[in-house]
Amino acid sequence: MQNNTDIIRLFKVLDPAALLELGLILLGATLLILANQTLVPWIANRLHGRYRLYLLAMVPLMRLAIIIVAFVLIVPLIIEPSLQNMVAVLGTVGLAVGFALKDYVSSLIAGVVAVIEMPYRLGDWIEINGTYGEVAKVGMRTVQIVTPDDTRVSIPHLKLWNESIFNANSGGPELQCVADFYLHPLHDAGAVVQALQDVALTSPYLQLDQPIAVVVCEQPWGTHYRLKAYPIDPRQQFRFVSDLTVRGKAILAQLGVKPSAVASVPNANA
Amino acid sequence: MTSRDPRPDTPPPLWEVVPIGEYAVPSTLDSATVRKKWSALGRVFGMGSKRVQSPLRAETDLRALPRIKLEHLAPPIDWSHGAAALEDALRDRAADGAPASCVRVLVGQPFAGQAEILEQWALAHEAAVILPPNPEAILAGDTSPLDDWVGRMEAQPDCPWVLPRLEHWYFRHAGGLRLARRLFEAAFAGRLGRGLIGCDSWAWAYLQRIWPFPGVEVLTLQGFDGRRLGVYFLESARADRDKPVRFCHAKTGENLLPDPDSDSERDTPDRDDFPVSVELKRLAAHCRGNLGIARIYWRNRLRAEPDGDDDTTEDVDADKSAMHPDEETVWLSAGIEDPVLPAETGEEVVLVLHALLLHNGPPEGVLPELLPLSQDRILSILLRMKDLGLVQAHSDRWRIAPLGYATAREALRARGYLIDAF
Repeated sequence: MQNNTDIIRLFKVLDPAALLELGLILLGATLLILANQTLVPWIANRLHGRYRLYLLAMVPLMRLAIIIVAFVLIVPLIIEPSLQNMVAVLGTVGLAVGFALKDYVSSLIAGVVAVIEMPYRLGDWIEINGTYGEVAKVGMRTVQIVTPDDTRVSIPHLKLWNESIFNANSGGPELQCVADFYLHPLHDAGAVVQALQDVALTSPYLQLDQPIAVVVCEQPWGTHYRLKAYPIDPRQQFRFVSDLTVRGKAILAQLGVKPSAVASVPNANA
Repeated sequence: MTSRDPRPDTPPPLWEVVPIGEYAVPSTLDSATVRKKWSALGRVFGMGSKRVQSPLRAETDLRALPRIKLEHLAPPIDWSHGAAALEDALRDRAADGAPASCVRVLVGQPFAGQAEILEQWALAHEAAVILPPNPEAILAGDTSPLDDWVGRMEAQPDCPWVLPRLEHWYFRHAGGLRLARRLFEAAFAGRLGRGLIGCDSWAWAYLQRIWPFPGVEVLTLQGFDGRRLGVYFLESARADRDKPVRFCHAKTGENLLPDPDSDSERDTPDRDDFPVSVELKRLAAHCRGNLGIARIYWRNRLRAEPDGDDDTTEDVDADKSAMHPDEETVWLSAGIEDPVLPAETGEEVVLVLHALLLHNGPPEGVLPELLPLSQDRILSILLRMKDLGLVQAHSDRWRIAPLGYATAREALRARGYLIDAF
């Protein structure tokens, strides 16, 4: 009974003016966060390349700053901000929430870490646990990515602790794309390498300031060529790979190079 | 490329051919530039531009000049001056000990006249003008036109040659680079003797990615800054007219070129103290020193007073006309709005613009080979851009329109596409 009275004494009595101030701070913070999450991406999506990505990356950072400022303004209104009081209140709340909503709180903390360490930012192309797509929103608890099939996937920031996160462009416009070609082994490999390099050089999507590479690997069934190059914008990656593939097939056909032919394996269960 | 000091100590000649690294893009940072950037930003965010201005002469009071008069006031550019400047530059380099058999390249922006300069030079030196092969041969990688030429040159090794349009010797297609590479092999190995190659700046930017050009001497016509434009417009306007012409700005009434009755300035327009109006500096900066485009802006903005103009006689410049009855006042309208690409312009439009610039007007039939778009789609985009004033058709080729060049270049630069070095 005495403990309850002590805890209650930590909190200030909220008079109508304090309640109004509290309400205004909460309302202001909410409005600012909403504006930040709608207005900044709207502006960013009217820009291109690096500027777009930089501006998108600012969204979660600004939200975190708004939350911190709101928190700093609210706490003195509710409790007497002495060290003793803060430790007592935050310790009690932390213990209670930690047991009841462990994963939820872990995701929130991981969300803060994600904003600071930036393993992914808005506009990045990432893969988490086999799901690949463009980061569309970095929320407090989850990161939302849109897959190439236009499916929105929410992944808790919690994955940050124990999953590998593959980031294809890491905040910049440079995203390497690979077009694969599987060819019959009997051909002039030098001519094919030159032709594939020209295929990349002549794609209208190519970022010409980035290198082009052709990796050749001999396999039991034929020769595997990997044509690596960068599109101008990461959002062009699938159109870029398609363009490389279409142009590559056309020029290889002109060179008389045949695709590798693998005999179909009969179904063992049939 | 460098930015030019607006008032150099000694005035350079009007026509000057310089190494490409010495090309000076005229620059200006004034309220007009800030206003232009602001309105571009407004367009990005979908806001219309609100213009508040009180011109000295309202645009509606002025009338367009007849075509014949425009031909006198802003006649087609005589590129033989550029050819003479090129000859001077070549002579200077020969005096510096450059090998007589080497091949040099003259690069310039679209409409900057490098092909015309080379054709004039060829005419003056009885050099062979090498025309590009047909598009089908380029796409097929057929090098027989080049082989024929090499054979002819081996028979006449001392005959100089000029290849004025290198941009029409390649296509951005996997099969369209072979001929250009073979040409570079033959030319820069000295198998073609002494020659000059003309190339558009956009094609040159791209061709540098497919072929290394170390040691190749690349020249360009120096950019026309405000002073050069003033001298050029003054000289070209009075070349075949007896009656002096005064050029005034419709908004401010400012005299854009020196007084026609000022003999000292008339006789010595190359003088260092040639007065340069702010408007000409702006025009030079907007056109990036490109004389061909600057002339078209200038010509399209020239206006005349309406016949029987009664209610504007109180104007200061009307008074000037009264003071000089034997001279004619021509007004420069406040400005021409460049064509605007809508903010929601899709990627396909940008791809088409880039292809047009990289090839300086490719044949319409070849565009589907260069772009991942169907013929119908490309044609619909071209027609839409033609309505916007961004492109124009000439014979079977589509080019960026001179007045749409700045818009197209800026759109490509903002989106990270390869642009020229000018």
